[in-house]
Amino acid sequence: MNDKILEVKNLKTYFYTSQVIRAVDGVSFDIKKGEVFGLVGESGSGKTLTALSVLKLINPPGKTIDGQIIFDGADLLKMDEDSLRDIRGSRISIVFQDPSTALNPVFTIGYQMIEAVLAHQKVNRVKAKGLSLEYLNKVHIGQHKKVFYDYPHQLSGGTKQRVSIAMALVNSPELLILDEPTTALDVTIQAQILDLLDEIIKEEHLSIIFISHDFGIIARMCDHVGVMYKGRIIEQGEKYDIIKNPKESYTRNLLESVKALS
Amino acid sequence: MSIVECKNIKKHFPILRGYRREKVGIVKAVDDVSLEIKKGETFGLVGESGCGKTTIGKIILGIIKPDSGRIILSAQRPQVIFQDPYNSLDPKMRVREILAEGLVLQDRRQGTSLGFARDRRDKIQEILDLVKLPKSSVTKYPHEFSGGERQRIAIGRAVLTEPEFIVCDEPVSSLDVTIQLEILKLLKNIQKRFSITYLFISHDLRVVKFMSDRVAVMKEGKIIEEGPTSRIYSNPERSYTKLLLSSILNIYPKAYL
Repeated sequence: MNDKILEVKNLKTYFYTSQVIRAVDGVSFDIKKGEVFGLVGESGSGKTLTALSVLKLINPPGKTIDGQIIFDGADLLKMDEDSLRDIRGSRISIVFQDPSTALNPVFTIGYQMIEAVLAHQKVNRVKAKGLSLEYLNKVHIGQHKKVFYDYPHQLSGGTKQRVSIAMALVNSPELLILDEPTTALDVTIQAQILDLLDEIIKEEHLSIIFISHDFGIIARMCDHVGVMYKGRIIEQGEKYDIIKNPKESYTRNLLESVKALS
Repeated sequence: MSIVECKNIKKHFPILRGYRREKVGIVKAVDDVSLEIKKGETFGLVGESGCGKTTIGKIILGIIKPDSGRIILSAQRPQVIFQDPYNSLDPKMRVREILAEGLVLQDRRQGTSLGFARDRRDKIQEILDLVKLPKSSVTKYPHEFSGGERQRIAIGRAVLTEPEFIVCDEPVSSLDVTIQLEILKLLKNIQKRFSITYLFISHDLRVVKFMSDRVAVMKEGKIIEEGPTSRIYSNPERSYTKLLLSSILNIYPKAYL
């Protein structure tokens, strides 16, 4: 029972524009400790909004109106903003799709890393710097001591994504959300980043929500998969069960498109 | 018979720095590339971002002038389909105007009499049928369409002037996989029906394989390997091509087959 790190029950996030848009419409899934759970679907299916809802990062006109998100025994949706802030970036952290917009262009990598450490850990700046360098090294940035003093624009897309990953890991989270972490990268760089993530998942015993539109990546990285379509998870289960015999016609259609191209 | 012939084309862009715009270096976007595209085939150009694929496409179309080299383009009315249908369609024009523009310009240049609005209308309706968009689309604006539909409009616009050669520059990269497949099949149908030659530019090796008869692999401004699609994919010679191919993710890893 207690091996689940996250339970999402009947999550509903709607957007109140001129019509009501049901971006996330009754999503339920749970993640066991050390498991990599994949969310796959096409653009607009609600993958990212599910992830943002878990961290309660939905801004108006969007609103999470129903459901439960139970993380370590507590419902995140009922928590006040202060306690949530303690969790975000420390116990649950997220890596976004586009590393060039995820990093602040006017501060050095080092400054931003230290800021992340100091926000959540009671250490002095020297220790924070040490920790930051340690994590930049852990994500295999060749010249991590130089990169520490660089600005984001001086780095390549792949290196920037490594920095975002280091920043997400520096407070030793229990749950990591990866939102299309390789979509903005070239295939060869993508392969490197996926190898890096493999290594980190094993080393740090992380639980992961892995969001991607690419079934190939999901098949490579995940244990369990949820297929999203129009705000719902229409099918979920063990990865190879779904790939070998999909039950929903949408999943079949999606897999056939992938197959025709490979 | 070749429809495009490029010999030793070079294009270097200067890197300018500071308020005096001093030249501090050059980017060898295209560095001594020769290629030949035969009539009726799909020639795939594959490589990572920044390798010079798009620059080659633009040079062939005459949008960019090369520094040196020779291009012989023997196709009539060459056309182009761009990657991002959000930027390639004028947001202030209705679909009817977007589609008609090419015809109007063509008529003006040739002085032909297809300039009648009614003839144009019939032709536009035919094309909408071909790209499977409803007839009512003509009065709509681009923002009323999804990405896939917009790409269909862009394809319709390209095909409408009866080109012999189309440069497809990453035409499906911004689309979902299921839509990708639909658009690629549409492009294949159109090619068969009008015997059009394609230069198909993409970073996605799976898409290039699906479309192309011959493939050239680019790296840092140079074509490093070229050959029939089946040979390149089954028996790559260069280590960079092998690396690219090994980066393709298969949904059925070998261990499970």
